[in-house]
Amino acid sequence: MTKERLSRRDFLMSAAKVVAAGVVAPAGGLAAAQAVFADGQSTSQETAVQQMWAGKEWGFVVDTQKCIGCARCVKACKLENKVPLDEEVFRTWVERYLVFNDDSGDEEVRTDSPNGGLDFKQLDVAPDKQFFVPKLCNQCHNPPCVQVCPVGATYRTGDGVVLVDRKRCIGCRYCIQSCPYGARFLHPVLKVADKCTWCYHRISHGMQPACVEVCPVGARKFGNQLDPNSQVAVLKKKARIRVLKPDMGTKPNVYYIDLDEVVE
Amino acid sequence: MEEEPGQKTRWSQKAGFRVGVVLVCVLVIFGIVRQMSVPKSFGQYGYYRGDNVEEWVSMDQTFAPGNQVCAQCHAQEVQAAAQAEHNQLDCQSCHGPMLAHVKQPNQTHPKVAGNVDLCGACHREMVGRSKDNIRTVQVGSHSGGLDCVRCHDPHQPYAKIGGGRQ
Ligand code: HEC
Ligand code: HEC
Ligand code: HEC
Ligand code: HEC
Repeated sequence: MTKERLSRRDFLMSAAKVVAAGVVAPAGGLAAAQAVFADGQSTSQETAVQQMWAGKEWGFVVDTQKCIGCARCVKACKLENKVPLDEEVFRTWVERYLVFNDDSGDEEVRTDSPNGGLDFKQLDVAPDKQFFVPKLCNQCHNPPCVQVCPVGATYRTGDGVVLVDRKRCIGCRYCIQSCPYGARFLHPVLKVADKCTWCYHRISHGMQPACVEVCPVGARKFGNQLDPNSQVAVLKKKARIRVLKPDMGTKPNVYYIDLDEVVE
Repeated sequence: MEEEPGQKTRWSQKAGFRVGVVLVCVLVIFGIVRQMSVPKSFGQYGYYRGDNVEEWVSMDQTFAPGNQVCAQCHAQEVQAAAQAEHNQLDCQSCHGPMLAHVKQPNQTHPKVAGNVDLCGACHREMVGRSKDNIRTVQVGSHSGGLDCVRCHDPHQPYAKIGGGRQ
């Protein structure tokens, strides 16, 4: 018995010695090297990206009382972001809401969004209430899509925009399923998750998102929520605003002005 | 056959040595694979590839930023439009993305047809579209099948037909 135990201990001891020599020594060396090189690029130095983010929290305001359902935003978005025009996928789309009150006081709500709103048809009905609701990614403070991504391919930037890393995305669609707003889709050409970026390539250069640029009635406003003089900050303060599906706890950053209560 | 106790110890040490070497190899390979598969900027700002932010920032735009850009070369149209009913509109709401044209005006010849498809997108009478927000027409009966620009100047809708908003 003692012999057995002795030899097992020898076995473990010598294995441990090799591992110690083979791993701990180089690892220690590496740590020392890192300590030396870390001085060169210390963490206190801000990168260009961090400077760009400083003092910014982008926000978006949609005025449903103004929207005329022309869908110029839908078309401009596709052209600006190279989303195929002939596919039924949209980074932003417009929904038509028709509300009918019957005699018993019940409400019937009909919604449609043919081709994202580009192909609305005249209908032979007379609704009691009618309006359009433009939709897009809410760039949530607590984005469920980011939480479910298994490869760290989607994230929220320091200035508040949820982006997809096209090089890392494996197209598993978890994020598409997790979005309560249906704002994500699989890009038909690139085969990666795609979504509204608030035109990150425009807003980072002082331009407005393409949909805001072409809206003929000013139903879409975009700006820095942290700047008290921005249109978005002013409207957030003085207008009656609400967000979509507040109980989901996602904390959206798209604010709707005077949105009818039938819209969730 | 009886083994000597010392022999057994030596054997154990040798086997232990071999297992140790294998373990080290496995760890080293794991380290190398991890180093190669996790991109350099991963974790720079959070659980993602930091370089991706720059990649989005540097994508090409297609829409020019506003009408003042057009005014550099089309002062007359911009001036005229600014004083008429379409003064809230971006030129590109009708003309489409124009940044390529701004950069190389003579290479690109932008054309837009002033027909029912263009004007009707905003002015067609339609359930859902409130007349409080936009003047609408029954496009067929209103235009008699003619292109809208036969009677309306797109930049100054009433310039050709006179009068204007009553
Ligand atoms: C740098 C000067 C420049 C800028 C800026 C510019 N254009 Fe032009 N544009 C031209 C020139 C020059 C032509 C004539 C091109 C030709 O016919 O070869 C032209 C032609 C056009 C035409 C076609 C005219 C026709 O006769 O068919 C349209 C429409 C137009 N521009 C719209 C725009 C809009 C909208 C903008 C702003 C987004 C804009 N342009 C900005 C120089 C400019
Ligand atoms: C309501 C839609 C609309 C808007 C807004 C608009 N255009 Fe046009 N534009 C047209 C149409 C349609 C034509 C073609 C006219 C035709 O076929 O007779 C045109 C023609 C032109 C031309 C060619 C010369 C001419 O007058 O026919 C130029 C240049 C031009 N637009 C510049 C501009 C600029 C600059 C702006 C922004 C201030 C602008 N447009 C805004 C619809 C529009
Ligand atoms: C992108 C949307 C859009 C497009 C496209 C558009 N318009 Fe307009 N138009 C407007 C807006 C907004 C107004 C001002 C608000 C209103 O009509 O009450 C307006 C006003 C007008 C008016 C004046 C109405 C009035 O009496 O006050 C006329 C006429 C008109 N447009 C004709 C046209 C014609 C013709 C075309 C096509 C060449 C056209 N529009 C294309 C959005 C558009
Ligand atoms: C045959 C000439 C003609 C054609 C073609 C024409 N219009 Fe008009 N349009 C007029 C005249 C005249 C008026 C002003 C009197 C009126 O309200 O009917 C007018 C007025 C309008 C108004 C303002 C209506 C209001 O309630 O104040 C709009 C919007 C309009 N047109 C859009 C269009 C569109 C869109 C087209 C193309 C589908 C078009 N028009 C084609 C002659 C024309």
